[in-house]
Amino acid sequence: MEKLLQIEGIHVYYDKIAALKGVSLYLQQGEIVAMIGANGAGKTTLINTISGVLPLQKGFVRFKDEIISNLPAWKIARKSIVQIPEGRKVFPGLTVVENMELGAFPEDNKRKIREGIENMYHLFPVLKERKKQLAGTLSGGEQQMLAIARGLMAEPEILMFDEPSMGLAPILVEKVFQTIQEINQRQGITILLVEQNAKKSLQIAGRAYVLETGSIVMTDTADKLLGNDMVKKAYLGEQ
Amino acid sequence: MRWIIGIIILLLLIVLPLAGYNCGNYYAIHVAGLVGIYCILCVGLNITIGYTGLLDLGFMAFCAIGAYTAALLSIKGIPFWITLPVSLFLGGFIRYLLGAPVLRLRGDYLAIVTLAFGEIVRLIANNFDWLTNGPKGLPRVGERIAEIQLFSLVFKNDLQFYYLIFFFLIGTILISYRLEHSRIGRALVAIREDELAAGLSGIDVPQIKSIAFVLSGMFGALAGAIYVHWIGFISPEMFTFWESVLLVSMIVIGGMGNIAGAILGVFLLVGIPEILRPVLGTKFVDYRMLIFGLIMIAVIIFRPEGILKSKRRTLELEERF
Ligand SMILES: Nc1ncnc2c1ncn2[C@@H]1O[C@H](COP(=O)(O)OP(=O)(O)O)[C@@H](O)[C@H]1O
Ligand SMILES: [Mg+2]
Repeated sequence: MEKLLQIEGIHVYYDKIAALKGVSLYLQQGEIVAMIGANGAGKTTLINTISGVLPLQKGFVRFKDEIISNLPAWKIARKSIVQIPEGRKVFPGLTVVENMELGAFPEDNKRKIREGIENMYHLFPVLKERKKQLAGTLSGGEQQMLAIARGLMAEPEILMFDEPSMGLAPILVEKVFQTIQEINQRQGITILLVEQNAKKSLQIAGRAYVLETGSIVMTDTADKLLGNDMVKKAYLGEQ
Repeated sequence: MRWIIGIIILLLLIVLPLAGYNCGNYYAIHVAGLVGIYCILCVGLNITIGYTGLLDLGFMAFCAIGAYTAALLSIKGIPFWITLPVSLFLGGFIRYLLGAPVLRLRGDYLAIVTLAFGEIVRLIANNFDWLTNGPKGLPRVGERIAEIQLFSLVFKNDLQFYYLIFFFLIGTILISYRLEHSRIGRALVAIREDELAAGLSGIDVPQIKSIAFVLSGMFGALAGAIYVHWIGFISPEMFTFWESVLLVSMIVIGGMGNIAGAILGVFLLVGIPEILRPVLGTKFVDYRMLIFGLIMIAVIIFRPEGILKSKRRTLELEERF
């Protein structure tokens, strides 16, 4: 099958310190791929490199037929590779609606934007109730919903989640994973899901990679990794 | 309700000066014109400082560029309606060149670069005698800055200039308001709040910043061009670093990021001191820096968002601390 996104041997440094040491991975059209790894393994670095926030020193990132390594972030976003950043990165001083409009920033067609927002209200009814509210006044869970909605407004082909369940109450964690699955199944959006919550991610993913201190140490179907002894011990907290 | 109040204020601003002038209140009209010029400057600078969140410490340089351009052309007999667009274009173009490399860097660099640029422009004005007549200013003896003429109307007295300035101020406010509520305006808020996330949303951050930065500078040039035609004279000392800092203070005190705040700042720091000048004597004007300093400290401690705070700004400050 055609590889939608291919990352080949990328090295990324913070000053002199290597954060990614020759990482390779790929995404195929329509799949959910999980990337699990402990705190500091380099997950955020990986997503930020794909997004064009961080430069890479070696290797390349290819999207369809085009090398996109070292393009600026806004250009990569416009190629419909979108990330939902770590933490609650909504724009606090903009209203819920304005945040969603910004997600579709490159789009100039007002009618299309309004349609997009209506779709988001279907997916997240709570955003409709809060539409005129400034995003900074939303609860943590609502902000995460808004962050996802903002990402979806860009009509992504690839959506990358950076620890979407971090700091959320268990019931909301459930809702977030459900939403990701829904987005994937209904809209066919390819998903890269970076998580410390390995169990939940592996349950919804098709394939997965295990990242340790800047290198991929294991990759397989998610089912096999769920049954793998080393993964069980290190990431699922089972004996 | 707000509309009615707005219209009443507008009518007062049109009718009161006429009445004042007819009663011989010339000084008040002059102050009103001056306040108007500063309002154009501050509403313009607010686009950089308030909307984009960038500190500009050399804004008077663009007022100077506008003023000198208009003066030099006008001395050659070129009418205001041509000197004005040339001033605006030159101000905007130079500001574009200044911003292009710096706007890609982190915000702090811009403060230093604009500060340095402000001084460079002043030094050029001070030293390039062949062009600017140095500290003696323009026009040279025997030369004259042409009056502004609109059909058969020649702008001569302060009242006429008051109305001209008022007209351009209204234009400045409308453009600034449209910008704030446009797609670009929203992108500016996003950039100010989280540059990284803005880029991730597909916003070409340097370009959007540059648009705002250039537009802002053009209002500086506008104020300069009108001012020089009004007063009929300019010299480099009108464009010192302290004048630029004063503009920043007005915006910070009045309330960053909203037009009303910028205008309030002008009233507090220009209007009131000038009105009090004849009452308290010239000495007072010398002390006003001290008083501003105290107001500034009080505002920053008790109301860091400025007197007229915007809701967005308040949330941004909460996020940061
Ligand atoms: N801005 C930075 N400057 C220097 N080192 C960083 C920076 N961000 C992350 N790192 C380092 O890079 C490594 C990977 O970090 P990160 O990608 O954030 O990990 P994860 O998202 O998996 O927790 C860590 O060792 C971290 O300390
Ligand atoms: Mg991380």
